[in-house]
Amino acid sequence: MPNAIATEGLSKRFGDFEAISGINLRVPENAVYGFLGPNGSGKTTAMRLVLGLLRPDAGRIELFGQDIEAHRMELLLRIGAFIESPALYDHLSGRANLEITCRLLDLPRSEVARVLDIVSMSRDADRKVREYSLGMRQRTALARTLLGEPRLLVLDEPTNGLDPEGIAEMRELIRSLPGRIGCTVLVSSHLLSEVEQVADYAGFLRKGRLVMEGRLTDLLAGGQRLQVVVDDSQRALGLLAREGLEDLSRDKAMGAIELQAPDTMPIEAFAALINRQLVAGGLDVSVLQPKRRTLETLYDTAANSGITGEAA
Amino acid sequence: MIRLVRAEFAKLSGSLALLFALVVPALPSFLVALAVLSRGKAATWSQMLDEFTIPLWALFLFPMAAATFCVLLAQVEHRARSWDHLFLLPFSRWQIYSAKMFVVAAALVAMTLLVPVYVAIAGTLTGLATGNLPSGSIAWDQSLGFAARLLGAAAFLGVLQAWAALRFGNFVIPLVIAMGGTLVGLAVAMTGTQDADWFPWVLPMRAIGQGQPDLPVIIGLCGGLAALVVALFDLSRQSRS
Repeated sequence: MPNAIATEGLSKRFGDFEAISGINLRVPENAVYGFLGPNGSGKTTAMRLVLGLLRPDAGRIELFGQDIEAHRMELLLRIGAFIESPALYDHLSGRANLEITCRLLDLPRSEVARVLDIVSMSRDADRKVREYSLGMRQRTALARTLLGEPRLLVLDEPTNGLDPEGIAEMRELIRSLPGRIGCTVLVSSHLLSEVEQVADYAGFLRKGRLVMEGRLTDLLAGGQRLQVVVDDSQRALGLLAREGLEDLSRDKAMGAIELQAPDTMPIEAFAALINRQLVAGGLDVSVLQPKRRTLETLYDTAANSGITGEAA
Repeated sequence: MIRLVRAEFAKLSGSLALLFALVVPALPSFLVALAVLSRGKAATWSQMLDEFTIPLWALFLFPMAAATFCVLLAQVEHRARSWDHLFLLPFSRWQIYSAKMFVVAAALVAMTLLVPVYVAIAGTLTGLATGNLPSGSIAWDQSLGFAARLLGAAAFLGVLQAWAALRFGNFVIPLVIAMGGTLVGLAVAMTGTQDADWFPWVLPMRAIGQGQPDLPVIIGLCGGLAALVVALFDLSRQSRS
């Protein structure tokens, strides 16, 4: 699949601080790509570099196969973005804000109604932005990025500051965009569970390095865990240790044992095997619960093992 | 570029910057009205405009008005944190900043032209109310000439103020520059020294002063042009590093 965004050895320093260190990003076309990392990991800087808002110290950026430095003006016509905050003019209405961008992009005014409809803001479009809630601001800012039917949307923390209902609405909206308007979405967040629900691909950024990247289904496939509750967990641990299995549970005091299933064995077969062994050892098994791998556990693994390459 | 300028004017709709640009030129007219009300005898239009209003505007009100308008205009973007949004539009950064500079220039011209209009209205109304209608006729051509000279000479300080306001998100910096510049202008006026004739905040006063020399206008225009080139270069470069 061709890439909407491809970077090679992208680096950026601010004085002595290395904000981005040689990242090779691959964002396939017509997909939602979750760009993940804790606050301060360099997500915003990477996005600003990708959009040509910052000049990289080293590396190369291609959007739709074209170099951003050489074709920036042409490429910007195909990009919608909001970085860090919904930058709207408070003294104007939502509609007026969009009309200004429409005018700048030389688009027909009917575009405003179209994008307002997509983000369900038509009813409140004539109110002043200063009267908007944060969720309405975010949606209006998102509407502005959709003007001109861009092929690439770059959204930096679009759920920041939203309440659970707002987050769910934004999530649905982002998930629907590739199918609805045929665009690629690069969305950054520090909320791993949110991204897990919308993204097709994910990249993990940590201290300016891309520690893992790939298709979400691949990243989350295999390596599932099994949660086991028995009447005597100490004896069970002894039995399991003889089989080379160790308890991976975070909270040992809870009494539940967490085992890593081998990639080569389906989780159901692994559960049956463990059950047989424990019962044969004279233990009563009350719970056998498969635990799906999540972005959270994956990120923990990547961060703790100090992975510095890319897992595609 | 035209699209950018039109968008800049659209952004002013309902803004504090627009309100300011319409109201502040009326300040001298309040003083004129007070003068007519308190003097009890008719003054001439020439006294009101050429000897009072225009020097007051050139020396004190214009520099402060220019600084404040630039700050209010730039704060529209700074407060909305919308620079990134602007830079993601398919325009060069120098074009984006040039459009802002154009709006500043247009506003300063409009404000300066509004001053004699407001004075004429205030003088006429208070004159009719008190029976001390100013004598003579308003020399509009002369007022326009003064305004043109003043604006030419003030181009330098206008660009400097716009540069500072656009560059710094903190509005205190351009206002301190304005206060410092205006203070020097007042000091020069009070001491009568000829040593600071090149100073941007002194140029407007010199341009409409005795003999109406052309040199302050030429310095103002050339300085303004040079400052504009440097400002556009600096603003475009600084915002991408």
